[in-house]
Parts: sequence; C-alpha cells; structure tokens
Amino acid sequence: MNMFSIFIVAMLIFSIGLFGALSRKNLIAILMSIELMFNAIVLLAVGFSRLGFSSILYLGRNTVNEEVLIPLLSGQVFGIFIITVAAAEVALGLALVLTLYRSRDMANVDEINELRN
Amino acid sequence: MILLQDVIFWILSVAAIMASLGVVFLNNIFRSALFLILVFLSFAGLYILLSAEFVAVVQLLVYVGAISILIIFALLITKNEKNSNLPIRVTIPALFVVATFFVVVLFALNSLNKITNGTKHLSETIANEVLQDTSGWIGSLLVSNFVIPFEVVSILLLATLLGSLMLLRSHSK
Repeated sequence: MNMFSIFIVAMLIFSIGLFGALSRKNLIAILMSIELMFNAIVLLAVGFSRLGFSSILYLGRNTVNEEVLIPLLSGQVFGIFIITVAAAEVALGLALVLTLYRSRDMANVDEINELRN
Repeated sequence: MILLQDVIFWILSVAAIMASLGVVFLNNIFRSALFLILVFLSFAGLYILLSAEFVAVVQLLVYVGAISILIIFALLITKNEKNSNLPIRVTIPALFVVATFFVVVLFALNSLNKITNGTKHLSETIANEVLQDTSGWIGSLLVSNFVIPFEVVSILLLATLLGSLMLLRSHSK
C-alpha cells in the first residue's frame, strides 16, 4: 500500500463514475455515479495526507506540534468537508428528481425536452 | 515480504472497483444501489487502513446510513421498470472522454513518480504519536484553522434543507 496504488484505485473508480454519469439514462443512476466520483476524491485526499508529500516534509522530526499536525490531518478535514457537501448535493438532487417525477411522471434525462417545442 | 496491510488493501480495492463496475453497468437500478452500498463499505475499510478512523466513521454514518437510504427511498418512490437503467445513445463518445481523462491521469502519475522518487515515508514514531488520536486533533483543527469553511458548510447545509423543503412542498396550498 503506497501512494501510487491508492492513486490508481481512486482514479479507476473516478473514471468508472465519470463514465456512468455521462452514459446513464436514469437521473438517480447519474446521482449514484457522481457519488462514486466524490468517494474517489475523498480517498485521494485521505491517502495524500497519510502517504503523500506532506509526510515526506516532516521526516525525522520527533516532536508533535501544529507544524506537523496540520499537513498530516488537513487531508482528513478536507475529506469530511467533501462528504458533507456530497450529502447536501445528493439531498438537493433527489429533491429535484422527485419534483420532476411529480410533474412529468418520469425520471429519464432523454425525455426532458420541454424547451424543444 | 507480503504485509497483511497490503493484502487487506488489495482485497478492499478490488471489491470497490468490482462493485462500482456493478453500479454503472447493471441494468436493474435497485441492484446498482445495493452495489453502491458495497462501494461505500469498502471505502470505509480503506479509510481505517489509512489510519483515518474519524473519516471512516463519518463515511459509515453519512454514506451508508443516510445517503444510501435516501437513494433507495427515491427509487421506491419513483416508478422503475425492470430494465430501468439503460445507457443512452452517446455511450461511445462517453467512453472516449473517459479514456482521454484516464490517459491524462496516467501522465500525472508519471510526474508524481518523478517527484517522490528516492524519498521515504513518514517516520513511524511521529505517525504513531499523531495518528492514534486523530478525532481529537481533527476537532481542534475544525474550530481553529478550518473555522471559516466549517461555518460556510453549516450555511450550505441550512440552504440545502430549506431548498429541498421548498422544492418538495405540496403545490395544493
């Protein structure tokens, strides 16, 4: 387990999520693919804070102070913020999907063509 | 020498990748949602492996607890036929975009390899000392260094709550 394997895994899952978000028909499936992409980025942030450059900078120090702490833990704090924003995003997205379903009785992106005619 | 850590990492990673392939490529959208829960669970395991226990617990509470329930709830409310998760017609251009993205990312990986070549990881004494009480340190960081994004996120959550209520309010008032 090093930074490169985490990078490869996160980018594979991000690519799978990107493909899903671009090619699915159902709106809820698109939201689920976006959740996959969010998760990949959180994994990347946490992995970088543990195994990335910031840990290299503090090699050999033996005291714990804020200077060591902030680079080591800021990735995790970023991850928590990303998770919070993703939760807000999926709540609002599902509210939009349900509103659309209530007015048009469907949840597919290729049937939304009210602006066309 | 094969470390137990590496074995668990690769098991969790392969599970996450296979489950995300299931999320994207299955035709039954309810099974996609169940595979999405499997992805969330394996990511929580990966966070524990990276000694980020607080993020793992937040992942379990927010993703596995709340978001999957919300998605399944929305799936049950909307009417879904058996093959409701079909791809649209632009699958080939989407595949092209994703392939381009992945090639660019591999170039970035190459430069990452050049930068970190010959460096070692964090000394284990500091790692053991700092990373055994991450929740307390994260809490103090959230109210000292990261206090402005913390407040902005709270405003965002309030706005999201009000927005969802506005959108789903009954029209026959």
